[in-house]
Amino acid sequence: MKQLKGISLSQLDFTPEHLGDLLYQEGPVLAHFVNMDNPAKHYLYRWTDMDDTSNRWLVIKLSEKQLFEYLSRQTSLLQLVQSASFVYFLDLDGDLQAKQISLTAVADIPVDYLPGSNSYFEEKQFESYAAELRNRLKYKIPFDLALQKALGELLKEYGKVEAAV
Amino acid sequence: MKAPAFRWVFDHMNDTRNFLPVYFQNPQRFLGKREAEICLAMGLSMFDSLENAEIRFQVMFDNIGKAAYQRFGTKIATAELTESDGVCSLLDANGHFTNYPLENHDYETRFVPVQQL
Repeated sequence: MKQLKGISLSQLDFTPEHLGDLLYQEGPVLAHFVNMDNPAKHYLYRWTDMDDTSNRWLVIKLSEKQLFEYLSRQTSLLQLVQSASFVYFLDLDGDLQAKQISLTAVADIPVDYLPGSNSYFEEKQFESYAAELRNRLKYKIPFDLALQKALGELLKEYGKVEAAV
Repeated sequence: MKAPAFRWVFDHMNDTRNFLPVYFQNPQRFLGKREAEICLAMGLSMFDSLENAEIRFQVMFDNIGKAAYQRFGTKIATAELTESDGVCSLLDANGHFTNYPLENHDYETRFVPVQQL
C-alpha cells in the first residue's frame, strides 16, 4: 500500500456506527457510518487499497446536506472528497482492528486513491439502503431547517421580551 | 438446463481468489456478522451476460479506480452452469446473481477468460 502523508492518530475522533452499505460487491465498497455520539455527523467509508494483511478505507466526514446532494446525483464522490479539507485513512486488519489511522489533507491524497470523475450515485447499481437513506434525508433536512428557523425566531422574540422587561 | 455465467477473475485461472467465496478466504472476519451477510459471503458473484459484467465493473472502477483490478480481477471469464453447479440466487435488475458452488467444483478448469477488463 502507498505511504501516506498526514498525521498519525491513535484512534478516530468519533465513535463509528455502521448503518448500511451503499455499494456492495462480495463485501462492502462504500459504507455509511454515523458518529454514535452525534448521529447528525455522517461518514462515508470507501474501500481504497489492500495488502496481505489489511484493507485501507478512505473516510470522509459529511453533513446531512452533503450526503443528500451525493445521493441525489448533484455531486460526485470525487467532488465530495475534493470539497473536504482532510480525510481519514483507516487500515483495518482481518479482524477489523485498526492498524493505522491517518489524518490526511485532501491535497496529499495519492492520485490513485481518488474516486473517478464519474463517481456519481447510481440507484440501479447501489444497494437499496442508499435510496432509502436519500428518501429519509429528503424529508428530514427541510424539517430540521424549519425547526432551526422557528427556534431562532422564538429566541429573537424572547430576547425582545427580555429587553422590554 | 444450461445457462451462461460470467465472472471477474484474476490473471491466472488457478489464482485461489477466483472461485473461493470471500467467507472462506477469512472466516474470522465474519465473526459477529449478521447471518444474511455471512450467507451472501459464501457465494460467488456472477452475471448473466458479458455486458452486465462489464457495466458492473465500470461502476466499481468509477468509485475505487484502478484498485478495482486488485480487488476484483482483471478479466471476465465465462462457463455454462448447470443445475448440478450448486444453488443460484435469482437474477437482480443488473443481471447479477450469486452462485453457491459445491465444495468440489471444477470452475478453474471450466471457466474460460473471454475479455480483459
